[in-house]
Amino acid sequence: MSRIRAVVTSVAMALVVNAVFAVSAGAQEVQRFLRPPPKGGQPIVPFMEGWYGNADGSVTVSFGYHNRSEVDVIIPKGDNNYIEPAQLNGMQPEVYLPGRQHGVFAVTIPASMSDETIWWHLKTGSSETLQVPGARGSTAYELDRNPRPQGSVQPLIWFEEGNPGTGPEGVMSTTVKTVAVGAPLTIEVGTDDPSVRDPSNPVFAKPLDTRVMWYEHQGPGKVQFTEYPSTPFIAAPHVSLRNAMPAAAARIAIPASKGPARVIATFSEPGEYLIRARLDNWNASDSDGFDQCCWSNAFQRVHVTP
Amino acid sequence: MDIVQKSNRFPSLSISIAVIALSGLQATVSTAAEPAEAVTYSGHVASIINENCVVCHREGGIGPMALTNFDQVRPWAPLIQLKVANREMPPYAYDHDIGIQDLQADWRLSQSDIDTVVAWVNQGSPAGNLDEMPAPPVLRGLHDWNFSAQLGEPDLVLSSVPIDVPASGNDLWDKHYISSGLTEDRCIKALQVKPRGDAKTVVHHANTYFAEVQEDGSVDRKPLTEYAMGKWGEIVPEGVCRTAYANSMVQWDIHMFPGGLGGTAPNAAIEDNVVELGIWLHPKDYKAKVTQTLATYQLDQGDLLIPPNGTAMTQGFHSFDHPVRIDSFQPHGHLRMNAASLEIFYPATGKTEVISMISNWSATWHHSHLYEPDSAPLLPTGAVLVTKQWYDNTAGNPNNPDPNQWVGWGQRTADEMSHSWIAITHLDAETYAELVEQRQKSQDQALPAGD
Repeated sequence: MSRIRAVVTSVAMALVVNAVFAVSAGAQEVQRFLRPPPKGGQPIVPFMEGWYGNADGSVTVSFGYHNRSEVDVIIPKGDNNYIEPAQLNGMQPEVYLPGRQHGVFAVTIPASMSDETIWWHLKTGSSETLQVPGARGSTAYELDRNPRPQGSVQPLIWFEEGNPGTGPEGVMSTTVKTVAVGAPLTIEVGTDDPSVRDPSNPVFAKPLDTRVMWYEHQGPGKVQFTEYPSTPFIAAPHVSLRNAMPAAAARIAIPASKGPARVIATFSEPGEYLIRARLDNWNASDSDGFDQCCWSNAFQRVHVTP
Repeated sequence: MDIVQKSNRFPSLSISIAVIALSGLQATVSTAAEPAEAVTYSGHVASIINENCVVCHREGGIGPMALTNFDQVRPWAPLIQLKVANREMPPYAYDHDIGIQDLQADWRLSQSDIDTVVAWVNQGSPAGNLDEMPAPPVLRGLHDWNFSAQLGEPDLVLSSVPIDVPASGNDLWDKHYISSGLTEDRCIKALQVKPRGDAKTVVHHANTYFAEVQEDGSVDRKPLTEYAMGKWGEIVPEGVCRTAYANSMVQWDIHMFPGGLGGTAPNAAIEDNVVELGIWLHPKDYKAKVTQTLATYQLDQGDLLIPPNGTAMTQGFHSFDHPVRIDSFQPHGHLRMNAASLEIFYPATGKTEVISMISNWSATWHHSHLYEPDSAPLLPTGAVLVTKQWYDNTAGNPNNPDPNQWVGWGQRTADEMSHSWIAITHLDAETYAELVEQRQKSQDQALPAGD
């Protein structure tokens, strides 16, 4: 799959963008307009998935996106990709895979700012800047960390034993790994899914596998993932619902939902990278990206030298 | 009643009145439709309210206020006038001037009844002689089945496993399995899904499937029935078999919205939420030549993507390799969806026919519009179903939880969907020809002599 830089997004795509938003704007004046939006195309659409009210009064806002084209798009952090207020900027992705990607990162608004609304601004190529707000808002967007009806909860993922993360906000590595351009780097996460399920339910007769996917989240170059011998990639083609997260080739099954996931990463350019591991239990009938539960992110910082 | 009589003689005036009513210009409607004679609660209005409103608006009913007597009705008279004149109540938002109008379980008021209610309020909502009231309505019990009056109790009741629903938080999807108890295939006569008690406002949908769980945990399933908030039920036409499969598990797929939706939402935790499915069966020796299936017909053109403070429209298309009859139409969406239509495109002639239009659709009333058998559309092979749905993500949509958000396809109440549940009777060429001939004969007989 080819990658394109947002700065060179084609004129043709810009025209498609304009067509989409011309429909939207005109529709406010015409009650029953007849042209549906086109399939695919740019720009990347930022989504606020929902918000979690935390016990300490802070609010954690989960964000995702929809890349309606069939290619990766890179939008570096900066004027075309930023969150305000500035002190909460930084965790948004720079690499946008095709499809609807749920809960890719989260931002926690501290209790002292919990009445504020944060905004994620995203500009793809020459299109208009799109933005989406995040706040403790409508209850229709309220999320929680409680068990789902069939027992699914956000699984545990960690770099260091005893320091797990859960949910879209997940866990950030406390150390920065260093590697040279083109050299292999092994990244490992530990995983465990504490979901409690009813074995009399026929779909839970056998223990379920969980799954780890590896993504380049931020970075100036391309990251190549290859399988680590003890944790091979899932060979079966990925089947996704409604074009959700179709693109992660680096997928690892965790038998019986407990154990490590390793991957070998190589980097094409020097600089600072952020690798995201997403652990999900979407084999369970009550867990799915569109359900906004249950998965957990882990972010590994990598410094790549020339 | 001079003006009303004129309205009946001159359809254009009737249409004008309706259009004005729909635009919300209450006073204009009232004046135009006001009858000359005095209109009273006891003499005219009580019977309309009894027959159309109190099934919900009574003690313990789902309506937010009881309307069972004059003292209860009188304080709400202006609001009743507004809601009735705008055709917002009874809550059956099916356009009265587009497409097929012969529907079963049709809750819409006649224009005459609307005019009467409007005139009564304009005249000061007088009581009349309360000693000469119409007989009180015969109502089914609050927890009775909707079809109990005509069909009795269901032959089979399947209940979901109880679950506690919190007062707030993320939407929940409960998918579990129960046994159907059926030991032989049977034909279904009618179905109703019924959330118990307060669960009505937290159960967004409750679908059921005949399911077989495979060794690897995957599930093969066929739709049994669908429920979304406000749905009345389904009646399968005579002469048709919709199969209830023997020796199969039934999968419940229940979507719950903590806190509830709509004016009567409890905004509180609900313990032991249970949804029941009632199935009325034909006798074992019932014979039918054709079968009916219920399925979703999806958006298949463009993405469902609604910009902040904007609107969107979707279209879906489907055709069959055999003749069919459309028995019912139930569009599905969430809080931003506000209108839907069903059209048929005939490739042989190039003509398009509007079958149904719902211009004021609401997620709190997912009606399955059941066409009367004599009016249900008969489609030749290759005719194309065209479903259209419209979405309003502006602040002008009173159901919109947040107009500043991008909205895409999703299962949550805050996300959106674009599909319709449509019951289809699958016909062979011979049966299709017979039905077309019968339809033609009946239309010929309905024409006055000399026409």
